[in-house]
Amino acid sequence: MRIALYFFTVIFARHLNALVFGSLLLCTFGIPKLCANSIQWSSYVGSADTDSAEAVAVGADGSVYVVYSSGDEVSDVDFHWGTGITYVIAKFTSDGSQIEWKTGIGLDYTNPPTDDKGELVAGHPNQFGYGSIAGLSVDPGGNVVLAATIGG
Amino acid sequence: MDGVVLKLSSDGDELLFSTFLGGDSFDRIRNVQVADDGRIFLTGATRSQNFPGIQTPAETWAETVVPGFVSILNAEGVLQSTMMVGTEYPNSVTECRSLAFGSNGTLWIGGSTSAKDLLVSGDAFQSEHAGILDGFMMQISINTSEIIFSSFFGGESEDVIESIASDGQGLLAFGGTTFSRNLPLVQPFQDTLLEIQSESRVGIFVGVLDTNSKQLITSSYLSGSLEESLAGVAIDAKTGDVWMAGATNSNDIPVLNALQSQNHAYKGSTVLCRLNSEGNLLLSTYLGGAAGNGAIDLAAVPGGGVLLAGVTGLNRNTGGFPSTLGVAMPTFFDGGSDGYLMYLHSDAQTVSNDSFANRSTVEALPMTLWANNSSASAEALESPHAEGNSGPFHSLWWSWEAPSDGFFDLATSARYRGEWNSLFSSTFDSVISVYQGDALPGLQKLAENDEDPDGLRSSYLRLPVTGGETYHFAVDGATDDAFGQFPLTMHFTREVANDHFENRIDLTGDSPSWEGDNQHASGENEEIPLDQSFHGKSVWYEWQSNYSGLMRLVVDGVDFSPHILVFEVADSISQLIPVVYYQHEDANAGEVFVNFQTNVGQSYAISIDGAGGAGGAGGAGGAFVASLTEQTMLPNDSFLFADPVETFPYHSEPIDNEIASLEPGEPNLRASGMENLPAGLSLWWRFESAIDASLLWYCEADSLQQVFIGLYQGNDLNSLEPAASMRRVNDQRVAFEAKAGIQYYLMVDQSGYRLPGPLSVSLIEFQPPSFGSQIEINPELQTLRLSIKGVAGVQYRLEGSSDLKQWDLLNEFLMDSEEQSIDQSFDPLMPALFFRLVEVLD
Repeated sequence: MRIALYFFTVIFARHLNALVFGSLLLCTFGIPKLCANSIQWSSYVGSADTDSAEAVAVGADGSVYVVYSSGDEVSDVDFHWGTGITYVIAKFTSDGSQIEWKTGIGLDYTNPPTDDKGELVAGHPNQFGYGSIAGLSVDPGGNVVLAATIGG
Repeated sequence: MDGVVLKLSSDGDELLFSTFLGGDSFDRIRNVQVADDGRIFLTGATRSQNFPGIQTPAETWAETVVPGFVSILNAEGVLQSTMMVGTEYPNSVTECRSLAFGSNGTLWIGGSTSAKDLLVSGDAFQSEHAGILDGFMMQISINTSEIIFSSFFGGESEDVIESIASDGQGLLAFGGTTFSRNLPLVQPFQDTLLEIQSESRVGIFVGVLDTNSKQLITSSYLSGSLEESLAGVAIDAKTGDVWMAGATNSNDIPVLNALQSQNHAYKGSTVLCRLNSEGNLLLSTYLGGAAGNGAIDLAAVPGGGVLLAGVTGLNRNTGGFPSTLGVAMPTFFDGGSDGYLMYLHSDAQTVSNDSFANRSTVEALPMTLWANNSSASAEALESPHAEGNSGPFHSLWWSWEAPSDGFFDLATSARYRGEWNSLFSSTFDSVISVYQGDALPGLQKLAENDEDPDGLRSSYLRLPVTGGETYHFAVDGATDDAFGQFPLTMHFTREVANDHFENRIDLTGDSPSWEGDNQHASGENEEIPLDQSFHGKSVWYEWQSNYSGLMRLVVDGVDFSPHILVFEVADSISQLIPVVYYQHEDANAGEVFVNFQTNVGQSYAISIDGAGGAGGAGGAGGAFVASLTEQTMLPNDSFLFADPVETFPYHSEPIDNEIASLEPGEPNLRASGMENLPAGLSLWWRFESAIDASLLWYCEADSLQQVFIGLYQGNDLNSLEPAASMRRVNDQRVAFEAKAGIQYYLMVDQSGYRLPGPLSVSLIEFQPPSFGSQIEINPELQTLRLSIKGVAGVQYRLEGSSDLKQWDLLNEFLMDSEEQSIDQSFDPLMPALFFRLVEVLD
């Protein structure tokens, strides 16, 4: 059956206008394996402002880490570092059913999170701005690393 | 602009370190990856010649060149090394966008470069830079920074590899954005970048590299006729399939096995693709609600499948966004947009509510959830869910307890802004049914539906429900090959006993008071929208008057502004005779009233609707308290008892029109759009002059009042005519030439929107505007100062003429007192100039 499916796929890939028809045809013939792209769970993320999930990472145990931006400094977090427009890092359980913790990160260039390791050479102190998220990654111990760019 | 990196402890409560990463110019981090040993790999681009940690190359580069970088921090955040990626090619920009760990201690870098001499390896699949900006992928040794493999990937225009992913064995997936029509494609599922509609149009591409042979397995466009952007690529940990996610404004990307086959959003839909490791397309679908969707990132999940992160806008849980039950935030929170997290597994999963015994419980309604019955099955003893079907086939089960009596709506489509939206409907021919009972054999079927009249494949039913009762409902395919993704919308409408006119509640007593609630009421088709806006949350009462006089109906909505209508009762709603309607706001927020004159034995129908408030305009509602009380009628409330004005000047004592009322046939002074009925707060005067005279009839009222004033001739309220000599100055002032022996009726009424209250009226001799005798000339400024006498509050035009035939507008002004001066410029060379004053009338 997989061979037959590939046959259809290649044929229709050469005729783009027929792709929609192709998808209906495949489902109609009942091939659950390849019609089974299913949403296991889907959750909104955010607060009472304009929010956007900017990056996601998955830990070795399946826990889900997301960093989302919020339109203003949020208060419903467990901890908060830095000031200014807030990003929130939240840890979801692997089934999406619960948020285990939420930590706010303020990425104001004038007052970023503390504990500078001294790698800053100069930057542009006369140009203020807020962060853009580069990515989120999780180490084997479940610690969360966030990288961003801040400043104007 | 600097990069910043921080690390949080696993419980989120400790900032383990944070550091800047950058030099004295612009530095941007694009991606971060953490290795198994805890080292942190960062990549991006920099203009800073003193970027920290540079080891390779040792020398600096021209200021006009922007190279990429890869920096490595240890687990404690201390910089270990930085490698620059780029060349001295004039004005070139090389930006590293994405990192992935390869096999044998190698690191893959993906990005873009305009450096045509970027080092490529001998086994590159594309060794020549082909356009303005080309993508590149590079494999280096982490320990030595030696370049193991490097190749361009690009065409004639601008191409950027935005994301790469490695399985650590033999596959590297990559994706990006492109303006080029001649990308190096291999077994593409889409071989053409659709016709460019604008300069800003951009498509996306996806590819898979065999990292052993260094040959492309596949590379393909994915584009529609509008813009696409790429969020990322990932390799499925279980199947090795390649996932790619992004966003699109197009509605013509190629779809396959789609979860949503159309872009339903006003702008922006998430787009998701899946290829197998041979490069065959398995899935291409839109995902999202009715507004502003897009994936921003995705990540592979250890057990298989991917997690998408992104944004969706203005859903209110009814806009079709595929959220599911049992998650931390199943409903749209608030604001213009929310983020989202969505987990798609690589295989069909066993669904927990496949059997009646394991049915899911639904609580707060309304709700739209998304589900998939692809792997669901029929049970022994389960009956077909719709008449004429031979099923069951792939049924899923839910339960819900009705909070009170009412109606339950169930559909395999979504609701958007209160309307059933069949665009967001099941991807297969669905069947729904509702049951009561404790176990599968013997369930009592209460309702079923196979065909939603408004949908192609969706189903819809409405069922009356009893408070406290539990209802079970199933969704199945109509045939054995009908399964897939579907939205399931559940909506509950609370039953309101007096929602309809025919079920109106009788009010007893001469001055009844009562409590009510219109929150869950609805409108009736025959309802009379007296103010041309139909609010649709009316509840009904009937009251019979035992006396003739004035009654006040007061309704106090707890958190909404009520809308009141009173009718003479009739057999049907369409035959009701309006008596008074609308609202007069009281000083208390949410409290409104109307006054109306009653006759003994007459029955009145009362409708209380929602005009605005907590539920929004055109549909507000909630609990309220109401009362009917007798009022003492003002003598001149009635036309027949108009106060006589014996002479002028006349100035009335302050009088409060709050207890004035409407008379049948009363003229209407209200603005266009409210012409069906007058405001009903009218008071009357009458005047007969012994001589011909120019008079001004005006009213002074509190600034919160919006008063209208009228002047009529005639003896019957139903056939009054505006006075022929009336000149309306504004809403509160009327000038007229009174003729001796003619009786005039003078009226004051309210707009209906503002507070009623104390007001006074005056009838005075009207002084036509005139110039004072003094004219001051300022030859230096070439101005004339004219002294003017007129009526305060009246607008005048100053016109000029040199021949008394052609008059030109020179000035227009509002008199703020009975005498004032204005300065008018003049031309000293003109032979003569005449002025005149003209009232500006409405």
